[in-house]
Amino acid sequence: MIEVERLCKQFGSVRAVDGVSFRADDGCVTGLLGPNGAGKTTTLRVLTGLMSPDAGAASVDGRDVATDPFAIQSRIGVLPDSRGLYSRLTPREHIDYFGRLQGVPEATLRTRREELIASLGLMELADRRVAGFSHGERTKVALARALVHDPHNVILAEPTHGLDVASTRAMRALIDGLRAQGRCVLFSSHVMQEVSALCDRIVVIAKGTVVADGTPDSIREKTGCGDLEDAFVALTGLENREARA
Amino acid sequence: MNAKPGSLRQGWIVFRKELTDWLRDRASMIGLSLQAISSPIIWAAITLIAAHRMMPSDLVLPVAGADRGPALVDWLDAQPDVDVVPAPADPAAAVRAGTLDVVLVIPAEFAEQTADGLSAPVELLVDGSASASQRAADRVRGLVAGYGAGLGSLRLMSRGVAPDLTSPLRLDVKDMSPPERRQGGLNYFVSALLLWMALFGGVAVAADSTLGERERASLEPLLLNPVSRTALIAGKWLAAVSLACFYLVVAGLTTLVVLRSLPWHKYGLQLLSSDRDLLTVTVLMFPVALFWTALVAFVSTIARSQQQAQTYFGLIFMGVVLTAMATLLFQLASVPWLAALPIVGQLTLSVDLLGGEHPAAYRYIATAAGSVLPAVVLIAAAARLLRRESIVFRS
Repeated sequence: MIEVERLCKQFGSVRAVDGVSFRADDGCVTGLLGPNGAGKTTTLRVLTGLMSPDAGAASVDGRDVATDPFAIQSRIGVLPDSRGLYSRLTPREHIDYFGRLQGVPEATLRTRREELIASLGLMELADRRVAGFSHGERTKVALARALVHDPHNVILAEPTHGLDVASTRAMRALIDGLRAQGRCVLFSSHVMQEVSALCDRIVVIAKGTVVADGTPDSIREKTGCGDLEDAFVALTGLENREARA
Repeated sequence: MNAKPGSLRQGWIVFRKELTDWLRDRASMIGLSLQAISSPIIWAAITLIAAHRMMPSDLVLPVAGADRGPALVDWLDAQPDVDVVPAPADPAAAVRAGTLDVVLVIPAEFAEQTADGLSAPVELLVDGSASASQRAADRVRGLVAGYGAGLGSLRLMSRGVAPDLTSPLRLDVKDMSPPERRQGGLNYFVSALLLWMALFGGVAVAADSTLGERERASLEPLLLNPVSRTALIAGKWLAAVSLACFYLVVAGLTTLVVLRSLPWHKYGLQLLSSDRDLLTVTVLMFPVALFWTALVAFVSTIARSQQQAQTYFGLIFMGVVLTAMATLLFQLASVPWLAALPIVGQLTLSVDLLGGEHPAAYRYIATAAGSVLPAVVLIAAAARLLRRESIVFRS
């Protein structure tokens, strides 16, 4: 379970995150939505222990992120926006490297690695160097290394970005599977269909604050929009921006 | 839940991954291996060719108007290593064009003035701007002076005067330098060569430690693992050090083979230190690799981009080169604290050791400590910096 309470983070004069609070429950897929620059990435970076908040708190499974970031990092698996891979290493080696850094015992690592390779459809590529991989293939490798330590909480930034139809469906199946296993899944996305299809709960962030938090239906109801995309535009003030432009 | 591995184990995991990664970089592996092997060979070839050219060879001396001074020409021709040949029709043009180094011209009045016991003129056409012509001219000058002195002595004797009367002083030059100092700078070259490999063998790996990860967008995913920053930086650093030391050993062994298999003694060049001294120097340079890769890793942590890092390296490297040059030029090796200065300490120690001296034990300790301690401090500082958001997400 992930909890964020009145989180604030400022860069110079810019208030990137300004009192964000939300909760992502176990066995649920929570979507973090927001336009570019809304504060999603900063929130996720605080949540994963890479940034410390100016005020407020974030916790994972009841443990405070600021107190023990390493304990948090072994309980979460993160597919960040940055998906840089080592071009001379193979997918198997990427998974092994991260698994070992997470302290996964060698025997477990072998089983876990092969499971991930199979479930992500990486069999053919598993022993090829990642240089020259397509965007989608790189995403799968990045996801596999993020899940190698079997984390209870999973944070995914734009997981289907750049994936083809088959891979997108496989990714959705994987997210469904994570939910079915009772894990806490938090993901950010721009693709509305995906959010409405996958998420049990949606948190909409704009200009560093939470502007809506609830089930897709309750958000549609609240905004009076039949379509989630229209609701999103109405909530984040994109409409005004467009009008001004 | 998995047990978090200790820092030492994490450092080992990072080290292994970095080595695997970099050993697969064929281009830089081949490039640096070639550099380590070819640098000593190219340096040896250039040194030997230069030495060969400096060796006195047979002087081919074109003489114009040989019939006007047959005695002089016969005497010259009879000298060992001198070969008198007829000069071309226009000797001045040949020297100017560089086809001939020098031409000795015996003028029409030579025979008459010699017969009259006067100081007879001989002309030497030279090209003052060419070093080969200068060297030939020096030899001809000596030869003509020798012939003149002989002729002068005969004239004095024919008049009943002892020739010694005209040379009241005789200067005997004796070279007192020990043979080890007559190495033609071999000790300097070998030291500089090995230092070079110690500096550059691990730079690419060390520079990748933070900057490369950041530019590849792999730093954030990496730091999402519960890994101690010290283990991370130290693992990468030691991988860079290992590669640098590997290339250094290759260069050291190649240098040893080159020094022992080529005919240096023929040209009066000889490295008098033993094979052991040479290998000692190779090992002496290990701390240089430790220090330099640590410095590069530190700079790569604070730099925003490759260009910025390269600017820093340029400045640091210039400082090192100038200090090293000043040390060698002003013979500052005896200043004790300089021994502790990284790079400079190793360079002077190596030059002295290969020069056949027996440096004091404190210098070995000071050079090693003077490099290893700042290296450890730099790595610790880089690890601390890596905990800062402004460094991790710097762009």
